[in-house]
Amino acid sequence: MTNALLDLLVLAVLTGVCWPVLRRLRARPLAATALVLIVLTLVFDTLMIRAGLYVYDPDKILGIYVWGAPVEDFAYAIAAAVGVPVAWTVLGRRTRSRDEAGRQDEAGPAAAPATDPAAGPATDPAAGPATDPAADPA
Amino acid sequence: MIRFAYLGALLVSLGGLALIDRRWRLAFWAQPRRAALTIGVGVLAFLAWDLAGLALGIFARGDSPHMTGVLLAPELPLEEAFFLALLCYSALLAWRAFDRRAARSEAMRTEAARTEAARAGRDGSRAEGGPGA
Repeated sequence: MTNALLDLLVLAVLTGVCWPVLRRLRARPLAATALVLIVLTLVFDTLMIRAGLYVYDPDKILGIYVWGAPVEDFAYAIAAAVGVPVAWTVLGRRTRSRDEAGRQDEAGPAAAPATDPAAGPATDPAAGPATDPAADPA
Repeated sequence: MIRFAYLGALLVSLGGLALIDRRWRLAFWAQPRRAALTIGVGVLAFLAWDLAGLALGIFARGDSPHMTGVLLAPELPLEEAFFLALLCYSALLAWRAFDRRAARSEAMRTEAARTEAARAGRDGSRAEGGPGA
């Protein structure tokens, strides 16, 4: 399998798995993050390859370079821009109570009374609408 | 000492990101547990991707003298884990900053619209001769 194929496979699976969460996030901050990471990759991938930190099998890459970075390497930047915000969002549902217990406690009681009055009238009309006008003036 | 050049550069970079994080309370200085888990999950996922690339013979460790030579797996240098942490941390900080700014400008727009609506309502009632008359 070539690098391009592996990268496309990884990005397709990642996007598929992340999609339900990803579609609810603001698009512009995600795009801006991807752009920042792409520029960083362009500069630092070039430097890292020049420094000989890693080498590619020339038969397994497309051979298309953006400055000194093989075009496939930008898949890492895109994956980070997709996966990290989604991971943060998903993990927040489980860890927020421990990280900001104070804020969570403030939100808890405030949310509870808001639902209770709504629950009352919602069940009352079923019991009998005729009793409500009589009860209100009294 | 040259063996520690790459690892050292990665650690200095991570330190720089930590300063940004602390200054604007973006990740570890906002919700430490959530930030640690996010970076941890990201690094593990990228390491799995790296291992797939290595197994397929797509890339290999270079003969650079700038690495410690400590390996996490065959052909997978210790430095790669720190590099991936740097990638994930950069992504997290950039996104948190951009998203926070977007959320604030949304909130300001909503507030401005609400103020405008309230003012229009007050002006309307005054025109009808409410409080003035």
